[in-house]
Amino acid sequence: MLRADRISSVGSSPSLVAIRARRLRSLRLYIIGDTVACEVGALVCLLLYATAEPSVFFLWQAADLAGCGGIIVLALRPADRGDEEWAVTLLCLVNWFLAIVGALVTPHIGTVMALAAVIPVVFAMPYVSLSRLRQLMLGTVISLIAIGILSRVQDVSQLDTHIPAALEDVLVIGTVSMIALLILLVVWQAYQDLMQTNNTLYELTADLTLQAEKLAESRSRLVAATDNARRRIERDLHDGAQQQLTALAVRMDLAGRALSEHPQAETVLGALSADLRSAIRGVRDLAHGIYPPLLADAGLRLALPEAAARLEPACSVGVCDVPRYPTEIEVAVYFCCLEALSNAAKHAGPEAQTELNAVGTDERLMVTISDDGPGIEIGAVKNGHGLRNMADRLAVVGGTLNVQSTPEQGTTVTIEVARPPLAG
Amino acid sequence: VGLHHSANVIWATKMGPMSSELINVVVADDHPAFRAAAAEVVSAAEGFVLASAVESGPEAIAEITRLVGPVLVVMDVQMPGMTGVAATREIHDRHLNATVVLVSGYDRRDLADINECGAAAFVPKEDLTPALLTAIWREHAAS
Repeated sequence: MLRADRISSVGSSPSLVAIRARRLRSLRLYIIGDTVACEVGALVCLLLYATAEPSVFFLWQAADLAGCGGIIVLALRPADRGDEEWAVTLLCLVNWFLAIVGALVTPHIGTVMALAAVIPVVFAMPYVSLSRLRQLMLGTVISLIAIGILSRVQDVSQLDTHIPAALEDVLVIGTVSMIALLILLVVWQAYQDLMQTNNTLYELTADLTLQAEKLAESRSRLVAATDNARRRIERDLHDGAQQQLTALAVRMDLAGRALSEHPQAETVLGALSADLRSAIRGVRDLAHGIYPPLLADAGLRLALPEAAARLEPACSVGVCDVPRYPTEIEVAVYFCCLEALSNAAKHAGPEAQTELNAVGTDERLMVTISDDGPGIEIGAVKNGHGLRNMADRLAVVGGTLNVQSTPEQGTTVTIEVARPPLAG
Repeated sequence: VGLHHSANVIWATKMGPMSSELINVVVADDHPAFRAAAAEVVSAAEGFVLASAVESGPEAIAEITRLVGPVLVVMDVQMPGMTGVAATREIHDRHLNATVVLVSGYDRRDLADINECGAAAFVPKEDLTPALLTAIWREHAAS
């Protein structure tokens, strides 16, 4: 059951605010009901004293009921302040006192008093913390023991011994009726609480599901936007700076040719040309790292072997007939493979054999990168950025990452995306 | 696709013009800077004359069909619309009298399908020189 303070801390949800407001109303109703029951009981006792039987018993009962009623009504103050825990604690204390005094004055209706001592803790449950609930349970047990002792092993007061049987019946029936009313109130409140909590949980679950879906969509859009930006930067580098540098290199060669009769100028131009070619290679490699053009043009079937071929030491690749997949999947899998290959090169050692195999079926795409190196301590690397980034990247496209490593036998990274390839 | 190498270049330079008839060259590239530079390379190459510099594959094919006699085409691999590879394949399939030199700013390893499209050679753009054009033409003519 949701606790009141937990609910208030959650705060803004309209359903939770409604639950809190309803519980507060129930608490006020209970306090007022309890107070009215006590005061009416006190009046009845006084009436019986005045009209039926002038026994001190009735005066005791009236004093007990009126006093307790007066204290119970004080619980409205903490309740109005929002401190339900103290309000229900006060209710429990007064009700236990009432029940114990009732058992002292009227030992033979101790069972009814025991019932009255149990109700408050049941009512208190939604309003208190666990530690306070434990205290209230302990208080209830002590009260019940006290009532049991007072009703079974004593009749110290002997106040009710001279009460006519008919009046006693009225007394018992009246008390039981009041307690029954309180029990009904508690049951009703618990039922309402349960229903509203169920509805709230249902609404919250639906809300959370919707938010999770929105979050996943937003994450996909962000990744797609990042991929598009990478592709655009690669295109801009290729179409802009690289073309200008290339044209410059070609013209510089022409100038060198034109100045072939001036060896000094030719030497300078030759050096410039070499620098320029180095710059072109730099831009080309940079653009390739940002977004490999072969991936966009031909997919993983050609891009993965090309990536593996650039590695030192070389890696054997099997990517037979891997079909085309949606761009976001190809990009995610490609960069994860690069990371896994780079990890293998880093951790497996120069002597290790690394192998990349990719299989694409109608249902899924699976790539394994395995090496026969010394293995890695998965726990240690799992929290590193590399594997986490790979897992995050794959999660966006509904993919999974699995890393298995055996000491002295090597490491296998499995990338799996359960999505069908593009048609055709 | 035969890749150029330095021996070919030296040999071609020493041999001079291949015949008295000038070879028409069509340059096809969507990048204006490189198109202009390639046109200058053609103009500087002995035995070749720049017939036209166009922006796309279809334009290059139209030029080839318009020109009389053998044509050397300097074709960019990646152009919007019809790629250089697709245009070369069409030239090859239609048996047009043209020798295609594919050029690109990309590394050759980053280009798909350039091996079987019917091109005579692939040249990285920055390596395009008059001597290389001559060498490729000679090698292709000999084969």
